[in-house]
Order: sequence, then structure tokens, then C-alpha cells
Amino acid sequence: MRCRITRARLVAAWTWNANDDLCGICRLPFDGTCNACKTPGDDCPLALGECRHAFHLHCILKWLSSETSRNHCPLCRQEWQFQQR
Amino acid sequence: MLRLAEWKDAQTTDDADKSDEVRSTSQLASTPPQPSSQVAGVPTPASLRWLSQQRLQQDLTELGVTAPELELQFPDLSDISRFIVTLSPAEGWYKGLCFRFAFTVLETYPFEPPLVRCLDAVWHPNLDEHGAVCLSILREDWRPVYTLVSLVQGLLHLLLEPNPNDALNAAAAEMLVQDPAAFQARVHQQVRERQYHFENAAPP
Repeated sequence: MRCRITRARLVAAWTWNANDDLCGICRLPFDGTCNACKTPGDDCPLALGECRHAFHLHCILKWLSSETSRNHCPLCRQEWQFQQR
Repeated sequence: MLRLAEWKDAQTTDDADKSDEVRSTSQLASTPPQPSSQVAGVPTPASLRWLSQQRLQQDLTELGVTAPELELQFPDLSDISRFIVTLSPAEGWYKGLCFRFAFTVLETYPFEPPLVRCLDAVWHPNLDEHGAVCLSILREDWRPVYTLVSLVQGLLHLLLEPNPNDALNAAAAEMLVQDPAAFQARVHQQVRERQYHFENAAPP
């Protein structure tokens, strides 16, 4: 049997590949944005550490720039290193 | 004074009022910066204030959900960053007592811990007579993934299990280790002096 497709409606979905649904710092979903942003996706990316913990990039940068952080991961307290992908 | 339940009622029934309030505070704090205008890694005071307000709202809601029996009071309804949590341990040295802890949440929250003072300081290794609280997660061990719920649990743990190894009141810590009976007697005496209702208290 042959059929001809005359019309198709394509739908795409994306999600960040994190081990968690929420960013531990702002408590907002990874697939949304951090508090400071409005457009999800590349404008508000995810940051993954060597310790495999994920946060919004903007959130982890704010934490690392605060004195309290001592450059530690907020979850496991290991030294924070951005994972090179 | 406003209890948590009333605060939540006010939120649900006076929806219009509340959203006005939120809108006006967000205008004060300025709307969140546009992604294009934001330089990554350089937090502006306005963006920090915005984050702190939003996180605090979420934390207060979580606190109401996980511990609805908890007494939470807002001395000033227009300022949710200052509130008083009342804890009453169900067992241990301080059973039957009520402890009020005053929280002040800074604009740098959750990157800096809230300031917490105990308004009902007693004989305790980790509390001093001025209300200072010695709890590691309120100081050097603070991390932004902690919430108000973690802090309330930490404070409750401090009341259940005083930690003589990290003492603020060295005399109390020493007494707790050397002579627990005298420690309990001193707590009881202090409580009687302050005319607390202490009917339920019994030595652990």
C-alpha cells in the first residue's frame, strides 16, 4: 500500500539532561529558567560540575561569587569544577 | 502578629491584594533583568533581591506544607523577611518548653544564611544569654540548597540533642557532660523563675 502524506504537524520537545528536576539553589525547574531569566534554553543553560551535580549556570555563578561558598559544590561540598563537555 | 495559617488565608482570599503587593515589591526590586542585559556571573543587587524574595516565598510555603503545626508569626505583614518560629521539643531536656526563634532573611538569601536569634534563651550549651545560636549550618556550613525547613529541623535537633562539643556556653556544656542531673535541675529552676507552664516536663 502506498500513501501520500499531504500534511504533517511536527512537534519537538526538549529537556535538560540533569539528574534532578529542580535547581537546588533557586528551587525552580531546570527546564524553566533561573529567577533572573525569561527565556528557557540556551539563554539560561545548565551547569554540570565534575561531581555530576547540576544547577542553573546563573545560580551556581552567583553562589561561587559569594564568600560563603569557598568554591564548594552546594550539594556535596567538593571543590566545584565545571565539567568539560 | 500574624500566624502562618492567617498569612496563607490572606494569600488565597485576598488574591488581588496579594498580587498587588507582589507587583509593587517586584517593582521596587525591579523586574528580573533580561537575559541579554545580564552579564553572567556578575550578580546585580536587584537580581539578588529578586531571587531572595522568590526563594523565601517558596521556602515559607514548603514550611507550611511540611510542618503545618508549626507556629509561624509575622510581626509585620508587609515584610515577609522577618518572622518568628516557635518550637516546642516533644522530649529531651527541654520538653514542655516553647522557644521563639527570630529569623531575618537577608537580600543575599539563599547565598547567605538567615540571621537567627533565640528570644527565649535558657541554660543550653549552644545558646548564650543574649540569644545567639551556635549551629554550624547557620554559619560556616551554610549552603544554598538548605531551606527554612532544614534550618527548623537543625534548631529542633539542637534542642533535642544539645552539642557540648561545639559550645557557646562553655559552663553549660561542662555541666551537661560532668553532671547531667545538675544540668536538668538548672534548666528546671530557670524555667520556674520565668514562670513558664512546665507541667509536662520530666527528666529524660
